[in-house]
Amino acid sequence: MEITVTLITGRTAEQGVGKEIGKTSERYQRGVNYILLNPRDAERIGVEEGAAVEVSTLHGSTRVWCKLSEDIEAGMAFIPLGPWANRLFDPETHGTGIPSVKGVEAKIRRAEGEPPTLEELLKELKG
Amino acid sequence: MPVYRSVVCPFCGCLCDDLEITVEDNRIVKVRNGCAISTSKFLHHHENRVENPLIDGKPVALEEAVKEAAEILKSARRPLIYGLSSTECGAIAKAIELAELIGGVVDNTASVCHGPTILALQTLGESKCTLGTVRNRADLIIYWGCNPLEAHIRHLTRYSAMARGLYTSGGRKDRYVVAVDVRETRMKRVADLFLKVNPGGDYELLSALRAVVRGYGLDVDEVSGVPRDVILELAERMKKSRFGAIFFGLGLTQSEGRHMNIEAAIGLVADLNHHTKFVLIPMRGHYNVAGANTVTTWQTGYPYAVDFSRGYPRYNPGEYTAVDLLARGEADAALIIASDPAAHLPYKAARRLAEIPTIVLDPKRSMTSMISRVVIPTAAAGIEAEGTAYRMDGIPIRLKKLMEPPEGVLPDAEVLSLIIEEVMR
Ligand code: SF4
Repeated sequence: MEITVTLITGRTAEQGVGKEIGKTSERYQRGVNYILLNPRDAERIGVEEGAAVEVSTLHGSTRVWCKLSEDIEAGMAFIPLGPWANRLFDPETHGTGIPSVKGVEAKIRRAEGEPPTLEELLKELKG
Repeated sequence: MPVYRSVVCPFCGCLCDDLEITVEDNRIVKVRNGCAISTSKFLHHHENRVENPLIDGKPVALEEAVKEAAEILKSARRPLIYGLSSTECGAIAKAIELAELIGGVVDNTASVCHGPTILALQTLGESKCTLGTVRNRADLIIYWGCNPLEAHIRHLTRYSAMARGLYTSGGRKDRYVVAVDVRETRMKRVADLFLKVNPGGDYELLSALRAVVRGYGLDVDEVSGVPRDVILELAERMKKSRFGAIFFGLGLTQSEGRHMNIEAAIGLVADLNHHTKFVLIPMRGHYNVAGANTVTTWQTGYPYAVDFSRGYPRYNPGEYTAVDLLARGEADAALIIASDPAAHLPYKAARRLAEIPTIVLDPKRSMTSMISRVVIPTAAAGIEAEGTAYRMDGIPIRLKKLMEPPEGVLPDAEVLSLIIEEVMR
């Protein structure tokens, strides 16, 4: 089962706190490697709090942990900006210098396997 | 045990300047008045540091790293200098000097946050004031596409919704507070009125408000998910306020429409100034991103996306901006100062940084430092080095030095001077 949502990115206080401990810190990583879903959407794809989900857009895909909250309405999802989220976005800026990272359509489904660690992301980035 | 008072927080564009920091044995042991992020920054600033200058991950002497950096920049055809929003103005000035010297491009992180705001302001001008004026006078405050509870935590209590000022001594109860966002954030609990706008619908909603303020009716039931009655009432309230302020964030600049959204907001504020006093202030994120724009403007004439390849500055967002330059595979070397683009730019642009020789200046380890050819540790501005930063409303504030940096570690500006000397040699 797969659902289509409108993806919103942003910063959170927790991310700020973690970042200032260090980008390699456990707290920072936990603060950015998740997606916030409405419980009803989670039910539709058969995942519960703490499960791994696969998020994909036209431009790429990523695997993150799933957090549930009524703060996000069904049909939308929030993902903090960071090395897990940045694989989802188009670098095209349409002459403005700024890529579109809010209001992007994404598909979400239960993932096979856990989200990558920071080391794994790093290894991949280095190619 | 020295206690420093009136310390400026070098994290977000609020630049709160009322912190009290206790230092013991060259270690920060206590932070008063800071928000959660600020406290984390001060208490953990010594953790996860870059311990040595590195070339290809191996520790080297500073001179060697500087030499390698200069070599890379000199031999590159299209070097990019990027970051700069989390360092002090002296370092920004040096980075621009270096960009001119090597005929490179210098861009700052405004290009991926409030760049569209700047584009719109350049076109239409702006109606602005200091945060102090908002605090003292505003009886209507609107937060549009921003969430200060997450990103500018003390904004509400120090400068806006909850602050008590000269003509707003009642604080929160003297103000009407509106929040507009695509999702119901915790701001819903702070605001008197929360408007949930459809994703990508900001331009429409701003235009509808503008039409009503100008005296036109609305012959639809809703605009971008907001009922007509609510729009009519808000427009009336805006006109009747004594002093209104709109704070806006990346919800407007990073979504569909980008600078057009800001143009619509500027237009609304301009129209409202026929009725009352209204201002528009961007919620600048990194503590000195406003300084990066200011210094770049006074030195080159342009706020970001500046190319020196012809020996004189040229400006073209979309062409000389970091994301574009990297994603096109055009940049063939990069110098990153106080920023972590490898973790934040779209993957294709981040990937380019790993392909080319990248140099990074940062106090702490980051994704970018871990993919860089040369890493040079620097002193944390506002903690281990002084300097100037610009608050989100354009007010320059002097950062304090509270303690010595780790041995042999220099401020960004000094490292950049060494690289400049080496390039000129
Ligand atoms: S609101 Fe911003 S400037 Fe003020 S203490 Fe918090 S992080 Fe620092």
